[in-house]
Amino acid sequence: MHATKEFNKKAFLKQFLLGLHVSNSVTNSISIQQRKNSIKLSADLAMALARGRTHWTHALITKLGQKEENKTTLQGILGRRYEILMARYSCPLLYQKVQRSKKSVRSYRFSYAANRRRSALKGSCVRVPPSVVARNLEHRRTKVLKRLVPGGELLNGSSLLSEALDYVISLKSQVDMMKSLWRATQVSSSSRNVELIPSAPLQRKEASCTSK
Amino acid sequence: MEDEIQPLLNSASASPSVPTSGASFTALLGLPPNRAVELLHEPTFPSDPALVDRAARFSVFAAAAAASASSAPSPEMSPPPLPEATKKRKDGGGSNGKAKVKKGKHAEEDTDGDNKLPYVHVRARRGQATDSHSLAERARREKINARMKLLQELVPGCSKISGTALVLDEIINHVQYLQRQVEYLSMRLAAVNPRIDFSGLDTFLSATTMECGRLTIGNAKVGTELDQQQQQPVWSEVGVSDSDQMNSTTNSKRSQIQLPQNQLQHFWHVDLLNTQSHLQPSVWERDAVTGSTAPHVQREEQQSFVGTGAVPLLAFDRVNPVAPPIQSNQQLKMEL
Repeated sequence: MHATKEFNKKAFLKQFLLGLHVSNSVTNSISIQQRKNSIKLSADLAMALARGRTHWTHALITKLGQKEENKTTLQGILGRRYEILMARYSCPLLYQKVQRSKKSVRSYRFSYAANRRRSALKGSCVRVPPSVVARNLEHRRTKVLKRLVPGGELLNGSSLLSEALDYVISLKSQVDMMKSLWRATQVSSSSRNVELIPSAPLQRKEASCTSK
Repeated sequence: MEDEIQPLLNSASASPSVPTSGASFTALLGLPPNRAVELLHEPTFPSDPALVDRAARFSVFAAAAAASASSAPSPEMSPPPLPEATKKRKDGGGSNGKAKVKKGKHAEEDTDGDNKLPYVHVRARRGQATDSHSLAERARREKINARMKLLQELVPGCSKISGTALVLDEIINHVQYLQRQVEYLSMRLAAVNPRIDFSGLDTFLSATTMECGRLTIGNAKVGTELDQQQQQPVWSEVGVSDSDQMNSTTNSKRSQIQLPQNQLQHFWHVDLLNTQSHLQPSVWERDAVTGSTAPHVQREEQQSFVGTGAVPLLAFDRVNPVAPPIQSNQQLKMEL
């Protein structure tokens, strides 16, 4: 399972650049925010497409497709697959429910923490037996994890953990790829400052070679 | 369904392999056969533990006795209530009456399900609760614990922590950290380029593909950090090795770069549509001389012209498998 990640780096890069190309041609965005969003969109989409068919990839693509501003870009990148994917995995109600539940979870966490603090301050014993506490903590954490992992709301227990595992692996590789890409741009800019006159590259290169 | 159970009961009672159970089959169960059938097909667990025990024992003995005859009813049994149900199954020979040690789940009665359904067969340990509920729970917990262990290995600094909630905490933190990193990197990438076209990258790559020594040295250095996997595609980010001059080694995490003898090597080929365009034919002519990628490159070039004029497109290419990588490097070196 983990070994397959290596093969996808090439696919990821291809998809990423294609996505950037499409997004650039589609939208003429000047602000950094917009550019960042389109870059992020292409990166996420590339990661999901390179990974293949898992639960979280579908959920991620669907989530990306539901936002209005991304639709044109997605259509450009995915082409025919766009309609297929959207038709299959569109459940807007679910995500609305998700929105509502986020708030309740957050408030629940705060209230729970406040309750604990209050009881600690009072010095009274905790009214909840420790096993229940552990279970509650775990429950809270899994809720948060469900929120983080795309498509996690629908999963339970072990499947959530396996999806999270896969997601973490893909995220890691995505970050690595973007880092290396960024470093490449850094190097390119620095090397460009050094030399590289277009008129006479050969002699310059040979000179640099021999000097080194 | 009851018709199918009847032969089961009959065969169970008539089977010589389990004489004791056969004689007192229904007596053991303590129920009339109809009620037993009801129990069998009940989708939910009965609340009465005595009933559960009896049903379990029934299932166990039925499994031992009527292994051959029960193939008909087993596929049509009600689907298990839990998606990952464990089933305690008696092995063929263990027809002793130690019900304390071995128990079977009855609700998804699957007497012949060993080869049909993907159940996990667990043996209850001595002194542990042999309730059907707890069996399922235990199997579920083991599955979750296995996944947690994998996650612990993945997330750095998590192996020391014991306890599910704290590990989950770490996992959540790690996921949030990675997501934040993606945002941050995308912001940085957006800030670097005036447009999202990586023109700088193109310049850099065209420069490095023309640079003789760096290419060979980069590849040679990278060849020392071989991974064991032979099928890994070779992804040579030449620029990365370039940035750390000649001495330092590339970051092993980033560079999935290797140079095994008979592997393909992927080169970046750059498609500049700006002032440096006149260089392109020269570069690819050189490649054509080496016989590596000329036809591919030409095609890529044409494809890239389709897009908007100012946006160069980076294209992947594969070196012709005929030419081994080292030779092509040497040829490039000679020409440049």
